[in-house]
Amino acid sequence: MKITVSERLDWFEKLSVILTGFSRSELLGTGLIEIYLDTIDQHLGEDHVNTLLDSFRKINIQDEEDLTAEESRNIQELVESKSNESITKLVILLWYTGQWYGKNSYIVSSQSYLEGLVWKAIGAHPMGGKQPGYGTWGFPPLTFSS
Amino acid sequence: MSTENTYDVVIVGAGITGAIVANQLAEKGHKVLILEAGVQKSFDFESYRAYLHHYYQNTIKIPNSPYPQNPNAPQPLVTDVGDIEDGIQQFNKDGYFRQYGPAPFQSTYTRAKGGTTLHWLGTCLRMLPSDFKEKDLYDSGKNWPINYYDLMPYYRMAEREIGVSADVEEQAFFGIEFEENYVYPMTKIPQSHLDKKLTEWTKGATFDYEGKTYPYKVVSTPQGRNSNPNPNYNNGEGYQPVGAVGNPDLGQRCEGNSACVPICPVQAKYNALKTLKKAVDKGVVIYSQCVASEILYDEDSGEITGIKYKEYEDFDSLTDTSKPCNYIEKVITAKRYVLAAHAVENAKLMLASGFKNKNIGQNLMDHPVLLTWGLAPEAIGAFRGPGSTSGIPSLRDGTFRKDRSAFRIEIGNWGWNWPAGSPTTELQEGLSKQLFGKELRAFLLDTVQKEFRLGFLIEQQALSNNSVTIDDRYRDELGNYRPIINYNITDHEKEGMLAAKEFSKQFFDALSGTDKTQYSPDKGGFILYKGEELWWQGAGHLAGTHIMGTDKENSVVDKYQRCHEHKNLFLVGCGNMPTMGTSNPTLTIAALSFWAAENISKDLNS
Ligand SMILES: Cc1cc2nc3c(=O)[nH]c(=O)nc-3n(C[C@H](O)[C@H](O)[C@H](O)COP(=O)(O)OP(=O)(O)OC[C@H]3O[C@@H](n4cnc5c(N)ncnc54)[C@H](O)[C@@H]3O)c2cc1C
Ligand code: SF4
Repeated sequence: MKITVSERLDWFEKLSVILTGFSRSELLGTGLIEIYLDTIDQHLGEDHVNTLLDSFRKINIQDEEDLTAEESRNIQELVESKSNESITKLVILLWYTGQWYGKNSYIVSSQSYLEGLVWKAIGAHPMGGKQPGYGTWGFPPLTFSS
Repeated sequence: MSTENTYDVVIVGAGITGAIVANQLAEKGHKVLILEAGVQKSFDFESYRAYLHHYYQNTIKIPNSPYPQNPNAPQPLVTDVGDIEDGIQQFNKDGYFRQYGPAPFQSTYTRAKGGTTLHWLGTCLRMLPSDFKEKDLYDSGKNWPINYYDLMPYYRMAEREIGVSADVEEQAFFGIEFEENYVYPMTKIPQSHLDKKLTEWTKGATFDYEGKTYPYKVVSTPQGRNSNPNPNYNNGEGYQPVGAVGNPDLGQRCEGNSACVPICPVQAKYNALKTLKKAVDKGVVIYSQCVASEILYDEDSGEITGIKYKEYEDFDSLTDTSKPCNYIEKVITAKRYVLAAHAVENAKLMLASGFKNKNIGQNLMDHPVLLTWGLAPEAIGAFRGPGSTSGIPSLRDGTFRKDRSAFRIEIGNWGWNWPAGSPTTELQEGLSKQLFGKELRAFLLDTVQKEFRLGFLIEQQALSNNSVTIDDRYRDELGNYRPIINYNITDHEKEGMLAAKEFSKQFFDALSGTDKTQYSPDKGGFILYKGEELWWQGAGHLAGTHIMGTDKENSVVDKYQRCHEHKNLFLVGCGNMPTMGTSNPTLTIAALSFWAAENISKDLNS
């Protein structure tokens, strides 16, 4: 089956929402979706990526920000399957750190470092960027619903 | 070889000490030149931003990551210290230092214009009066030829130059005195939520050790980062914070970027570029890409007759990371000379020049930092604010110093970043548990939000065996010597570490936290002492390689910071310190640099 460029991007976006636990708008806000799909294509080859996207498509998720129990089970299976385990981890690492963890690890760009989701996940801001302002460290941490 | 002679004073090194001496001498009308080994960097803000981007994009986040390795003037890296294999500490043999151990020397510095303050944390504690006379008081360590009261006016100058934020009332402990009505230039940096909670949780509890009790008093730390100017400063004159060099509106106040080490994006934290810029505006000339390689002197009188240096070709250290450059050798002469290239480089330069004083290179010191870490009983919001905003001074002084090292306890605001590589480590842990999506987020939030660490800065004694030497076989790409390091820690320090480890255990109990400290026996800095596992890292406080004292038998410089045997040569920096005490050293060496500049100027005018 032939997948169009916009379909690929759409699936990658949805898959990323599920893998990272961040909303679509948060991911869009990073401005990095296309760059990350490119990065993964470049290192793993489009065919390999398509296989993952295709198995994802087949699960036929209705709302990626609110999975049903069955959808969750299917996703769990996909993430843990032998063929997809390492690639889904690479995708999560890329989103969380802005770094490609391959044979030659590298940080995609300054922007990707600053948009690393790990900082948001821990309730902080990237070290060296997105400064929260004078004295904020003296306040109690924000409590995030997870 | 060309020789130039138009200056009153030539200074080697454009770090904080060189910058202060230069600026003060220029202020008094002297003609000053600085030789700087690092690459030519203009004072525009864009070239500083280039360091920031280099840091963002570096996969290895260590203190030197924004400042690329330069083969023409290499610098040591923390990653040059390897693991322990079969009980023996390993070292990267291609690293800049050639280390023979047996213990690892884990501290580093930066060879770029602005020096190591480009990546310092900015902690600005004065030394305790007792630190200047340890030999007399505790029959341990050495005495200084000057005391706290001699240094008081210069501490004030240093606090002004760096722009220190603190409240005087909190800083007068263990005999530290301030002049009447003295206030710091800026009000104290707010303490972190963690600091406040630790105070609350340990209220009334004490550390009990060897029959004595010590309070868990959490005290805010004086810091070289901008806060709010103190209107009462200088008898009501006030203070004007200094922002970023080349972009002065930026960095007027700390913004909580949480990257002070290795680089403050807005320069709210002091770095020596700020003083250098002032010096240049007063006419000081800086020759960058000029590595001093030999000090020339008259064998009979000891008088310095010139400094030989190697000027290398233009070079972009951000892109040409490995290529060494062509260079030409030149000589510069002046009436007075100052070495301000930091402890190891100063000693190396004197050894390379055949100086005879046997103390040169000896007494190498650092603050070995014992790290412990754990979880607070509730989320405290790790990874926010400056690296540390408070400490616990209770064990900085006491009669126990006869038998074991004193230490200062630094409370770390960045989770387990230093001891355990957080938050990437927790991310990897989550992935290995097959977590993803919202569960992964929840796992990360839950663990990291409660994290904090303690760093115990253990005072190290000056010993002749801990040393910097040179060896003809080991040279860098320009043919300059690579420092050879022999280093160990003694039972005096290990006893201090033992007390520190016990402190940590009792502290975590007192606050009902969870001690998660776990050392791996193969990591550099691990030792087993009296059945207790200990692990320490370097503090970046390289000191003691040309200590001050009363004569050439016990020291290299006199109390005026002048070489005993070379009357027109002055040394500045941590190398002059005969004891470390438990304060981070830079405020003290900045104060000594003001003192040195005054002495040099008097000497020139006499
Ligand atoms: C991670 C880290 C954190 C730190 N945090 C603190 C802190 O919180 N508080 C504190 O008090 N201290 C701290 N320090 C220590 C502090 O950075 C140093 O004490 C201080 O920078 C030393 O100043 P200096 O001018 O003597 O040397 P440097 O700042 O190292 O400057 C020396 C200069 O000389 C130049 N140079 C070297 N060799 C030559 C040569 N042969 N020819 C010409 N030029 C040469 C170098 O390029 C450099 O510019 C920290 C250090 C580290 C590593
Ligand atoms: S917390 Fe941020 S703004 Fe403040 S000094 Fe550190 S890096 Fe600079």
